[in-house]
Amino acid sequence: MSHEGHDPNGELGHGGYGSYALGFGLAVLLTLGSFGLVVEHWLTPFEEIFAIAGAAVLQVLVHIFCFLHMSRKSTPFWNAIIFFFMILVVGLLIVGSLFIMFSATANMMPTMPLP
Amino acid sequence: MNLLGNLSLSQIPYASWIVMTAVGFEIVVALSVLGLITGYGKWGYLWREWLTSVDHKRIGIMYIIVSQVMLLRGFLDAMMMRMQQAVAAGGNQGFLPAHHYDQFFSEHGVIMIFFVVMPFIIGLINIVVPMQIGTRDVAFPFLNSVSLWMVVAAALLLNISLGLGSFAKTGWVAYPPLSEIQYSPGVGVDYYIWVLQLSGFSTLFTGINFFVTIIKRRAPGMGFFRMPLFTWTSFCTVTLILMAFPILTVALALLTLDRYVGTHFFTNDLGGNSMMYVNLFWAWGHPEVYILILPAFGVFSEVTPTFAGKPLFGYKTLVWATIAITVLSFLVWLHHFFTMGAGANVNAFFGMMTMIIAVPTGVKVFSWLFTIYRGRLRFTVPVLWTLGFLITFTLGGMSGVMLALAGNDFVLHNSLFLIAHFHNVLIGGTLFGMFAGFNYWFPKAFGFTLHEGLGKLAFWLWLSGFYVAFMPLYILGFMGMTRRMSHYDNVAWQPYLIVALFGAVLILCGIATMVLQLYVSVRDRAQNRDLTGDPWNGRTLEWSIPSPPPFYNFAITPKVHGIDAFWEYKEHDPKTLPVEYVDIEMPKSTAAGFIVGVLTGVLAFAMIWHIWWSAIASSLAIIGVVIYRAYQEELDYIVPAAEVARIEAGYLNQPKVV
Amino acid sequence: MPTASPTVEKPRPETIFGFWTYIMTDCMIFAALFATFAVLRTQFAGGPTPKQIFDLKTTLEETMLLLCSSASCGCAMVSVHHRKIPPTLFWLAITLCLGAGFVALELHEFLGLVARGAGPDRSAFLSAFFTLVGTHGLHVTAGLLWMLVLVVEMTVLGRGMTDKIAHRLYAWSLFWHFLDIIWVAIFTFVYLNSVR
Repeated sequence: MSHEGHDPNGELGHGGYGSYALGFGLAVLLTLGSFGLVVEHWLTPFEEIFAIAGAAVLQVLVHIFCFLHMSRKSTPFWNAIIFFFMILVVGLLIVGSLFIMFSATANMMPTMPLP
Repeated sequence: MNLLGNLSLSQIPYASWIVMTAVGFEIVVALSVLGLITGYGKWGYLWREWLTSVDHKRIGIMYIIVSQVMLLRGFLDAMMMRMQQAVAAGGNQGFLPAHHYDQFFSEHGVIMIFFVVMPFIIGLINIVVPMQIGTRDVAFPFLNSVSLWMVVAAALLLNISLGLGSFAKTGWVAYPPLSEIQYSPGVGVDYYIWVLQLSGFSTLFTGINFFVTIIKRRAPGMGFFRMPLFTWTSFCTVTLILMAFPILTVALALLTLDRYVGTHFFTNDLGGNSMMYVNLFWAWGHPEVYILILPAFGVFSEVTPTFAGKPLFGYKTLVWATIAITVLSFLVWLHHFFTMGAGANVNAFFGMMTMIIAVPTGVKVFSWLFTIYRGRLRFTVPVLWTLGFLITFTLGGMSGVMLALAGNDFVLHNSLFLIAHFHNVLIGGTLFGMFAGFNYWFPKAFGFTLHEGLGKLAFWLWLSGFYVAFMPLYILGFMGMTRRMSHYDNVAWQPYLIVALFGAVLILCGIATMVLQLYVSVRDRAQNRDLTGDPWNGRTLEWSIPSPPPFYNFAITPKVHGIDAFWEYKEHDPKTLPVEYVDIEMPKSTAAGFIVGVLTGVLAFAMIWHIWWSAIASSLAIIGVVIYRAYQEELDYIVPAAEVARIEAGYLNQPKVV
Repeated sequence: MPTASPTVEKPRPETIFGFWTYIMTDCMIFAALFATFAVLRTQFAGGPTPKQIFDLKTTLEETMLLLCSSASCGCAMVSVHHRKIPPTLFWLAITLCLGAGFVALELHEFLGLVARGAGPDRSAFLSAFFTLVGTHGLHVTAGLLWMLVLVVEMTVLGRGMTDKIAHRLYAWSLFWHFLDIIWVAIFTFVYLNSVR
């Protein structure tokens, strides 16, 4: 390829049509699966939440690998570090907020429901 | 439709002589500055060399000028509060009406955090970090200019609020439901929101800029564990900025929607939950505390080895302690609202995390102490600030650990004990650190040293003033005095508040001495020239280039062989090698940053006063300028090798790190 | 071999990384919005509930539009990689249509809700819903505008496919894929999880 020297995608990975087709196919399957689970009630509500959350996580991973082409080989160290730190902080923020807010809501006086 | 929105002449607070005097004073100062510039015919110079500059050193200097001007403003608010509280006991109502007093404490907090400490830190980072890592400019020079002018626009807006409308009366945290439109009608909270949004976005841009600069632009050979400590702490600070400031953006945006669109995020009715604002605010606010203190830690880590004449004790330990603080700072935010009503498990978890985060800080204190131990310490001004910090900050840390016990906090929250605690760490930690850095790097930025004697006098006035002003507040906290009181009935508190006022006067003398120090140093600059570029016998790369540095910093990109790159060079290879200069590529100046800054100020002003056409027009203009800028080509220019050689010939005594 | 562009026109090597960093901060914005939604999602205040107002068919259509646009954006990037302008423009045009379709559907959904009295001022749940989904929609709109800006630079300004523009298109594609990732979280945790 004549552009090896100054490849616009050199920073992160890139793929051909193949990876996009694969990613697209998997993403469609997971999306339809999630919608199907909820509409058709194949599972109990308790199982359902884990199933759709699992499907969402899988689909995010599909997008990351097939569309963003993050991988150990192609993703520079610091892109990965800041990405994982972001994931950590997102987790801390969401889990921490729910932990705090549900505890505070649970402590509201029972005679005084939230308006 | 009203072309001026809610704006009208009746919004000017004519009735209050205090406010009108302050406004008059500000106008006189502004006019005389503008007049002086016109009189000396310096507009062209100012525009070409400063307002449109993308040079990180100039931007840093302008940041610090903003912070020093706003320090005066914020301190004035503090003096007003101290004077009011010294007299407003029992039957005496003092001289400030409650609604003015409320604005003063809200402004004081916002100014000191967003317009004094943040620009001070970012200014120092701007000046020092690129030179410490051996690069010629930051990764995104234009973005850097945008950041600066957005913060200037925000600072101007804040000052405009004094004479046009009012500022928030909600405290610097603006908790809803008080800050909602029902309880705070008028523009006060809107000023608060938009001033903070501008400043927040500006900080976020700076964060991205320096995160990329430090990662991508280090001199060859400077691995991460060879970076100077100030660069390390700046790196951790900008990482925190990246992760924390978006949360503030969201908290403020949701409050904005509540006030402008009528949503119900934090309202009392229709399902809103004001506790969520508190939660989001502090999820930003606690990392912000470490954003403020880490660069100060970095300054002390530069000052101690330089003036003790020995390497930093436990370099790696300090680095890992900094990284630990960076991660842990996202795990403690609830300690700002232990009393909100979350359960014991929640409080216990966050209380424990708070005590744990004190450990890496303690580690650092020992690192600095052991660096000084058996060194030959030169008692210069930066060293005095460092020693003052070590004692004062440790004390503030102790009172912090007391507050970290949720049970204690139930007694002390919202009291003057808390006020004393956070001033203890913010003044004794961050501000002392910034003053140390100011005195330490001033000769690098301007080419002459600051007056030593006056610097020392300023330090002693600040230190003693701090203790006299804030130790009584700890006691008052135990006596049950809450914060933000414009008047109190318990006359037993009054003597302590009079002592505190005396402390504030001492600090005022300290500030006056600093102004004098600056004046005397500029007047006598011919005697105090720094001709070597290395006035302190420094250890890091910024001292290897002339003072003030040429606009391209390094004629030849230095190669780094260890921690303390310049020290290694001086120890092992002190001969001046013949060097061959090459062409240097530098970014061109641009007015776009200045224009975007002004337009964001116009946008914010229009939003505050509901001048919708202006808000739409300025938004479109901002987008237009950014697109125009994106389409521009040849943003860089080449400095030919011959020109570099000519400039460098002016610095004959200068060693070259190659 | 194409001729090397002069020094001054080379893209700065940090651009993509800086853009990546910006995307990380944008993720934090969405994280805070998701946290707010999670806290307020059951606060209906006597107003409409998700089961009454969410139409999963529309959501599925929006999802598919965005997913297809992500794929066509990927195809555009393959053409960019080979520095071929016509296929790049072709795929970008498809992406534009799909993205605009998404925005139109979302706007239609929003206007319908407001018309039924289920606007953002009705309850905390609806405030959080409109803000979270609306912020995503604004991002998509900004993405479309940005793409147009780049297309204009390529065609109207006649710059062609320089390295700099290829870099910019690549940064834009990161943004676009990132928006699709956020949408996965939205349709799962905002729509599906609320109507179960």
